Amino acid sequence: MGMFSGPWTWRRVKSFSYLALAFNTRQLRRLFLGRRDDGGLSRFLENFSAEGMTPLDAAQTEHVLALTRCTYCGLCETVCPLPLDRWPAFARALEHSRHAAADLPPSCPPECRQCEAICPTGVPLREIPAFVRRQ
Amino acid sequence: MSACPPVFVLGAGLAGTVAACRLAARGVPVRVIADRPGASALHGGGWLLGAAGPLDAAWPGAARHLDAATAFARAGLEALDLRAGTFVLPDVEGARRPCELAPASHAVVATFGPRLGVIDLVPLGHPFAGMQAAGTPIAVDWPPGPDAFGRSFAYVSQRIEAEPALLDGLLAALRAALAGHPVDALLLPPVLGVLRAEAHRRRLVEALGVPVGEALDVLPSAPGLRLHAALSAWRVAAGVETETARVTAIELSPLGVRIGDALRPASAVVLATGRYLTGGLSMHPTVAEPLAGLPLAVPVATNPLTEARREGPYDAGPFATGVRVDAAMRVCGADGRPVHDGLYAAGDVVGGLDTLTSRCASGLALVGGYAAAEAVAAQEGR
Ligand code: SF4
Ligand code: SF4
Repeated sequence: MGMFSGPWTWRRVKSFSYLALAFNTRQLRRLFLGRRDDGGLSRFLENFSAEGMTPLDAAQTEHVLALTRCTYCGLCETVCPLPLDRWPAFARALEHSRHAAADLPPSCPPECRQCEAICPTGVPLREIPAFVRRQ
Repeated sequence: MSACPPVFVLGAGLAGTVAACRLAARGVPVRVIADRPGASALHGGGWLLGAAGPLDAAWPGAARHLDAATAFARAGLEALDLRAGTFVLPDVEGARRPCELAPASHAVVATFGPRLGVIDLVPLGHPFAGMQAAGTPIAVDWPPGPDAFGRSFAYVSQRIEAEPALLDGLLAALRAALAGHPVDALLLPPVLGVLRAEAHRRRLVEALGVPVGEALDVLPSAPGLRLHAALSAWRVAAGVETETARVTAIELSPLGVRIGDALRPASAVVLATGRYLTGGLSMHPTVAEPLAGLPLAVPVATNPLTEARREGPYDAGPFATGVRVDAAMRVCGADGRPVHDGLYAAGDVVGGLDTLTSRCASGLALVGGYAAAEAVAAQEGR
């Protein structure tokens, strides 16, 4: 869901075109050459790790699922002492912050977990900045 | 050996808290276990206790709990800072909601009309047109500071709760804005605080000399935060201990709850884990009750969201499903018989009712939590 929503920046359009191109080339190759294209993964990584689109392992998948439990209720905002423009918590921010992982400030006070304490769906909000940076 | 094991209430939302506090009042040793707040923090503010019809649809014979639970709700009004009455209250979007119980700071008679001053807190940047249309819109330049834009009313309520001195600024801004506006009453967005909201409202009434009330909220909701805070405070006041832990299973023989590697014996378990949002029902890979695999009242084959889209209106399976209960709130199997003498359920995890279109999930949670506690107390011989 998150992948297809959010603002269509030039960078996103480009990365989706790459994805479409890579997919189509692969289908065409399979059609004409009649053999499996087994270099896919390495080429995928080559092409897309720069875009932050790296495959996830099981633990990371679990993590992303936890993040996507967000219902956008906004409760986490109501308890966060940070100004909105430095606010890393709201899981909705995940979509936007993919494009701005480098801009995320290490802004949460170290002991603060107020957003996690109020989230009804148990989103691990504190971990979003670190998660986005890792990707 | 130690004394007999406690009753475990799983879930710290409305149903769980009502059940636990009622059990404590009946002298039954009880412990609440939850790993996150209940969905009661999503509450919009208005309550209906629920008519006999929808209640009986959820569990047979429920109507006979209603009067007792209503009396109990009225007794618990102080804990939750609610007022009883017949209200039609506006929310910030301008919808008018009927309710039987309302948070104290909202429960003023809503006088809709031109002489109702409707406050627009301009720096927040969300003037709800519907709310403004309820009377005369009055622009107020508050709260101050560059960071106000885009913040929710509930956020402002949290701030005022933490820093009551901020109320002075609001009062001064209201005075200035009211200078040219003769009004009979004032309607504010819900910004007056969390547990202090009613005290703050009274201060405004005294200082301004007109009735002041708050509108109900949309998400994120100040009344929801207030309910959440009031439930926590109620458990503390009732001497109910709340443990933050993740229960991974309910064992039936012998009855107990599993937390990590430990199995904690229970004399009874009240399942008040909510529905999908709070994990009371899981949806992957299919809809199920995750702690004991309890049979569901309305079988659902697939993911609730796709199912709903296919079957249309929200009275479809996923929104009505949940565990089955009998008249005593005991969890039942497909044959209608209790799966265990000591396993009860209350709140949204109970199936058979569509809480989106039935009158009020909160009223049902309150009555159900109460009824479950009464049944457990009877089982414990109290
Ligand atoms: S509190 Fe949780 S569910 Fe609500 S918006 Fe924040 S992350 Fe999402
Ligand atoms: S942990 Fe960070 S994002 Fe969460 S409430 Fe605290 S400061 Fe805000």
